[in-house]
Amino acid sequence: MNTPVIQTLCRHCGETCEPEADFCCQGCETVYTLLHDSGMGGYYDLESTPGVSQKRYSNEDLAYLSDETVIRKLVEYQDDTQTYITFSIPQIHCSSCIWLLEHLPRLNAGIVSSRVDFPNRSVAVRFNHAVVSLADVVRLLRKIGYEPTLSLATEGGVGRERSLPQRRQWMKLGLAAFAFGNVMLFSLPEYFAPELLDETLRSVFTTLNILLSLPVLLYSASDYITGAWQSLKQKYVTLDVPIALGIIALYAQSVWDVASGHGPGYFDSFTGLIFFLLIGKAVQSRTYDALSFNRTYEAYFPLAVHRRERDQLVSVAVAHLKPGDQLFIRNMELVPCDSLLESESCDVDFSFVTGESTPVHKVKGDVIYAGGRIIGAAASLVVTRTTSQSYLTRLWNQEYSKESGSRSVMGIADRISPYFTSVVMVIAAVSTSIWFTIDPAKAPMVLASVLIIACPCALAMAAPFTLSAVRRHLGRHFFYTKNTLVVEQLSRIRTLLFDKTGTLTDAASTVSFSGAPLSDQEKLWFHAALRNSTHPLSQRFDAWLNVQGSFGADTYLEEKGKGIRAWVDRRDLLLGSYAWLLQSGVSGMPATAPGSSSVIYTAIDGVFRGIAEIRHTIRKGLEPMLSELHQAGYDMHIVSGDSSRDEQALMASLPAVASVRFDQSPEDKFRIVQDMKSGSHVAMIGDGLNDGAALRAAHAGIAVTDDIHAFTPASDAILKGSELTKLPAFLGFTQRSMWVIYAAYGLSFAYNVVGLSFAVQGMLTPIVSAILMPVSSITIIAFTTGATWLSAKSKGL
Amino acid sequence: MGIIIILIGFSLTIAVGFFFAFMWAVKSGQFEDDKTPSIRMLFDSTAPAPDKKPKP
Repeated sequence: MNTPVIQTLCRHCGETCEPEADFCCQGCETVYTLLHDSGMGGYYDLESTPGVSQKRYSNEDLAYLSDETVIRKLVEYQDDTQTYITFSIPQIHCSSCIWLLEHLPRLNAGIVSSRVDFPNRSVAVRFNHAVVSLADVVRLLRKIGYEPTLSLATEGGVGRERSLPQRRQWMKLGLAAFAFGNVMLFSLPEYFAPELLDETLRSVFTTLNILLSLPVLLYSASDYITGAWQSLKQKYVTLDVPIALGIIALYAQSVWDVASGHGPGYFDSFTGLIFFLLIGKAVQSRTYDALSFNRTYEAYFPLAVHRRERDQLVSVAVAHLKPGDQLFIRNMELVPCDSLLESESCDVDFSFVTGESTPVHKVKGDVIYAGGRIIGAAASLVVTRTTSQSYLTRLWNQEYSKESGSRSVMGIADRISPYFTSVVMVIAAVSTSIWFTIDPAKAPMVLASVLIIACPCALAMAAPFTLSAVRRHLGRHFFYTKNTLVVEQLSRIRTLLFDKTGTLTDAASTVSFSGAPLSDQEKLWFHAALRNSTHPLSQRFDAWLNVQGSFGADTYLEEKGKGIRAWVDRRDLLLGSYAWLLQSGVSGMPATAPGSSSVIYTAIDGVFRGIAEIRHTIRKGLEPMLSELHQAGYDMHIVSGDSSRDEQALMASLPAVASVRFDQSPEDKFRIVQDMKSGSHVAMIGDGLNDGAALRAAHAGIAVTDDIHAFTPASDAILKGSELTKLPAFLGFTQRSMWVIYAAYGLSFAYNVVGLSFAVQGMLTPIVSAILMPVSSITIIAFTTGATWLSAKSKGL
Repeated sequence: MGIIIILIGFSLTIAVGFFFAFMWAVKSGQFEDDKTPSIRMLFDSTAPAPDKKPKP
């Protein structure tokens, strides 16, 4: 028998299939048939093989979606006939996805409309709940390969509510722009041809100016005024305080000028100032829609589990579980709360909790922490603590409440604000009192002028524009930061803590086979046996074999946690632990494998064939990266939840690392971060949920993931795994960007000095201010954007 | 000079009209998702002819 050479791609999802098959699995074929039968073959015309593979089709019972309390938590709005709900569907990836999801009404008449938000990876569905139930809609989505991510933690996280603050900001900006444009038109004649203006025209213009600027003061500028008021109440001077002072002085002086017939006022400067400030705000608040930085532990947990009630399995919402409930958890399902094992034994993958991916064998009476994934046979458990009281959840909550209580993180602009404000106050006081001795009538005007010109518009814009430019550059290299504060934090980092699992090691592991090399024929046999197994070791071994099989297993037997026995092509295959093969009568095996526990013993027809050892490897380019960071003066440590001996040796061989710690629980990691924080600025670089608490505790928590849109723990920044080696450049770039900000501050101080010299002499006329303010704003924008671009180039980003 | 005031009245009315158009655009969510509409407009709005299922 020869190795097959013809490879075909699945017509639905584009994965390679068995030779001469059109689909990689039954599920894909079902979807293909369904779409064609409903006249929706257009799905396949827009892009080739747009589908989502159906191999990972889950079969979770959706009965809990009929529970009123669950429905109320998930839907956005419900009236007498229709329900509005927004599903988060991370699988959305191309225009065919959009087309299919927007044509849901054709697949089910009960669905009224569906609209995709591509950047957000979500679809807003409106359906008639008298005709279809929520469960039906979810089932339909699942059937066509777009299973929504349902979680109570996404409550309000998708859909319209989230965008309300953003909309308000757009409106404020729009209003300021509208007023600025019009006010400028009415003010220009005053500057260039005052002789053409007669009394009526002049009063019409100034009245219109007042009317146009009033909503700007009351609505567009409201954030600054309320922000200043709030910070003063907390006895703290943020940058909002001098801005609010300037704004109010500017408006009051203008109204006074008009009322006293003294001049046209500064309405153009006023609206322009607010307009530029709001642009800075808008730039700063740009977010990455599809990414979530705030996932809690709850987001990982299922919405519902099976509870045993009088010999019946009932699907109940996790939130309704009480201690003492008896749960039934199937293969690959998560344990939602701390529980005791009631079955005789089971295997649990604790990679969420500890980072260790090799399943742990548990026996009756053992505690299984929330977050463990059951591997293999289903297990019965008794709940000991509710989800919110469980070990991981509490760890997260404890940290969270502490962080929100303190104001430890403040932007650079707010930190210099108290000094800036006091200097302005001194200048204002001195110049006003001097003017009282010279010309008391002019003194109030000088006071207002100083406050106006010192209004830190340029100062307020330097940091947002620089830092947002930095975020854009970093985003281009798949390093996504939550907000601009994170960039500032990154620039101050001196200590780096790395988690081992998945962060420093490659996701793809290497397999070494000891024994005579496997022939292609043997690989095909093993593949036929292994592809049925969900055990991680089997899957890694199978991936390493890298063959597309032409055999099916005639009989297949898998004893969970022990091994596989399969009849393939009239051969008796055994794969599994030493004990498994021994018990099946294989002899002549070396008793202990070389050094590691991640091994698979193999035998063909009862004859020992060899040992497959599965090892993690260090990410490529990691060693030069560590050396580079060491030279740059960073203090580096590795903390790992792992306990495997050979990996310890692997990590110990890394250069330039100050310390390596193993067997660290999530709580230990959190403590280590807390301890180090007292002496230095700490960044935690990790990947798993087990790092969640440490990521939050650190000054900057960077989640490393190989799939950006997959779940990542709550963090400050998300970094694509393949870009990890650019970390030295990223950190260096953030440091340079802080110098850009300092330079921009220098520039804006220079403007302020020029402006103040006019102001203290009582010479700040509307035209001087109308020129100085936009010019300073625009030069700051140009300077920061350009300088950031240059420093990115110099760092090779 | 009176004519200028009338013209200003007209131009302001138009400007306010555009301003409200902007408000409507913000409220209808056009500033949140700037990607999907660009793809959506390329879809055929008519239902595709009941297609023959290509023999798989």
